[in-house]
Amino acid sequence: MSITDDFDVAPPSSLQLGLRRAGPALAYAAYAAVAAAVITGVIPPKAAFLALSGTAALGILAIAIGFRRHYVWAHTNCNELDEREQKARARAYEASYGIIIAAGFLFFAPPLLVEEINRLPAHAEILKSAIFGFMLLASTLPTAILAWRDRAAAMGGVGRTGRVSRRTLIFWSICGTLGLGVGFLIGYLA
Amino acid sequence: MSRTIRETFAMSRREIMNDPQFDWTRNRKTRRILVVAYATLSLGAASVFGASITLNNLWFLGAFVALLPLFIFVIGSTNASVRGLTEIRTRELDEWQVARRDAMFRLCWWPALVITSTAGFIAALTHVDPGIKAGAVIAAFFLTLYLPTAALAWTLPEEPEP
Repeated sequence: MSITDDFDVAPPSSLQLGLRRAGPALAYAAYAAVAAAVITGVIPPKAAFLALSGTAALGILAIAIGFRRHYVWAHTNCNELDEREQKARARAYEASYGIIIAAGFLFFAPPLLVEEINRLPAHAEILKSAIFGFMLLASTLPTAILAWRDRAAAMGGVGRTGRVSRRTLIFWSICGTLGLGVGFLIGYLA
Repeated sequence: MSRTIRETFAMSRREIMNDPQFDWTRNRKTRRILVVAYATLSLGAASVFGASITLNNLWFLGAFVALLPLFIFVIGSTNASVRGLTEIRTRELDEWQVARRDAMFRLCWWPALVITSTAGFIAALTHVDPGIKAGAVIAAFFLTLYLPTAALAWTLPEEPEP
């Protein structure tokens, strides 16, 4: 059962829902394709940092701007959401939590347990791909899950007033910028 | 009231989590002790695992494996102490329980990301001993896996007297 099936809201058409779901899926698929190209050497190592960081940043921006209603929904204060929105967001975070912990462990544990991974010629590229992939997931996963699962027509604003406070937007913009900055620094060091 | 293992396995998860035999875990002080025990156990197990890699010593690995039953006991007790809020299916919880559980995953999202990223940074980008790297990843995994349940056990108010 979908998280919002129990509410009396008009569902979007299959086409609308499919198009909405295609957005985050495309962003993740594009990143996976670029990462695969970097790891296999199709994209030369010199361009790896730019290609990976650029794709991750574009993916984050595409999801945050393209799905701004869901992005704001995922990050805004509880008192700006109605009961249905709070419930849907909480479920999205619950699913995201499991995925991100599993992804983090799968990214970082195998090289520690299987020494041969560290000696692969493309080790640095695998590492960079993992770091930027983790960043992309950490920044967008709750938004993507909300966009994927939301059964209501994804139009209009969020919350009782349909608006989000300026303070919330400024706070999350600063957090996002800091996160991207730290991520790029880590990726650059890798 | 004692039950055989067969009778216990025949119970639903909801029945097990609400069983009176776990009443001793449900006061706030015990819940907090269980959370501290879990955190200590996680850090201890991670240290032992890291030592087994650094020293290439199978005894440490054996000690790590020997700690796992303790994990099962502490995790099981803590789950029962919050009446299985993070274990039981949503339809088996009441509205208040669902709200508390759901809010906790969102609350733990950023702390979990910080813990995972820090461990990942140590594991992937520093040149410290491999044992320290492995210990950091294992500790982060244990801590984040259990963070929402631990946070619930720490923060839930005392249950009313029956």
